[in-house]
Amino acid sequence: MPDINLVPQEAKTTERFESLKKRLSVASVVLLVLTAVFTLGVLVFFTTQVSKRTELLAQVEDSAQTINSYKSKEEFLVVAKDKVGFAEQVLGQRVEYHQTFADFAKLVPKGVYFTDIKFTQGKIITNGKAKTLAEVAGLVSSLLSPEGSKIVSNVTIDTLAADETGTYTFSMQIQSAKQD
Amino acid sequence: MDLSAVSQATAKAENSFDIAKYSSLAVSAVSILVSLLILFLVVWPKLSETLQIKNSNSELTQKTDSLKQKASILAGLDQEELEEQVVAAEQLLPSDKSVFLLISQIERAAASSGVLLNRVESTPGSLNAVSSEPLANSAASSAEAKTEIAPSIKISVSLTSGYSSLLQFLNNVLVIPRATSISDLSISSATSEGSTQLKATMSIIAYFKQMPTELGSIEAPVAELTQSEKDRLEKIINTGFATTPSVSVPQVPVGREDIFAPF
Repeated sequence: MPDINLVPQEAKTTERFESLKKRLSVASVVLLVLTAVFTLGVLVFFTTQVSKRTELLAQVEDSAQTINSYKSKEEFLVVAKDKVGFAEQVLGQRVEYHQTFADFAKLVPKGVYFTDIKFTQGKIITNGKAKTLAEVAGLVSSLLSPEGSKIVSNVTIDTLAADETGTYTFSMQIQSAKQD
Repeated sequence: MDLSAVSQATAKAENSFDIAKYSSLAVSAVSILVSLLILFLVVWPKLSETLQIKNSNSELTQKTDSLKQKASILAGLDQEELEEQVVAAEQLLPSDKSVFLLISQIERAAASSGVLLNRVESTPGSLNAVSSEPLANSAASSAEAKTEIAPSIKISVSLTSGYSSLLQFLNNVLVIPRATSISDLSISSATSEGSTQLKATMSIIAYFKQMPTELGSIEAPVAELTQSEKDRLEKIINTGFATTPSVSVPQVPVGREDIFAPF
């Protein structure tokens, strides 16, 4: 059996309208309150940040004045740092020849001497004499030893010749471990 | 009977009832609209602005911290010590070629080690400020790689000595206050009357660098001297070179009547 609707159509419309009106009123009030709260929050946040910014700017100003009062110190420091920093770089790269010779001398057998040595582009070109072949072999062996490898590498014998007295003359090229 | 007036009045009453009915809705609708307008036209831009300020505040905080740190570093430095260090740094790396001082230092190194200087040769070029001249007369060839770092001047030296004197000279050259290095070292021995004499040639490269003319921005962090740099300067200060700038070419009497007469 179909429902019998006893409420007049007009009353139903009015009821729906009232309900819509009520919902809209509630929504508008809620939105207004939220807007107010959000606006207030944003304003507080904004004020805080602005005051923090003012404080920070004052601190920056203070620090800048302090730094300016130490300007002469800063100038001295910049000059000293610039020069000594560069000098350290140069001095760190240079070859300490007296040390190289001292280290090299420890590797040379007693029966060997050099007639000339030339250091160029990280290479050591040398000519020398040795009492016997064993002394030459001893020299090469010392240069290739772990001790020798600290100062030289890549030993090349260009010439090796003996004269009637049995003295050997040699010419060799050695790569220096540190470039000049 | 004419009922048109009645029906007109009824219609009018219905219209006014509708207006009153919808106007009560309009209040809510307008209030929602106003809220939305406030949110989008006022609050949202303000929030964006505030967020931008917040970001800039964090940058400012960093800046303040670095400035405070810089100020505290500078406050901790000793002015007198810095002045000494600058003088020492100038000895280490002069602002100009200082070629006469360099040669005089080489001569002193030779004299104190007992080597005989056969020849000292240089082509210093212009002695004016570094920037006024290209590096044409500066050290070339083997030292080319190093001249890229800073300008330098090359002094070619030829000498005769014994082995230990030569080693002493090589050491003395490297301990002069100025940043120098030796390149193209060539040694040959010549035995005469039972003793061995060595003939050596070398290039002594000495570096120079103009002082920085400008400070960085106030925010630029200050670079302190490292311990090894301090030690290096301390060594020069302790030798007395830094405090006695008179360690230079000695003064000579001036004025001649005949400039072609031999001395």
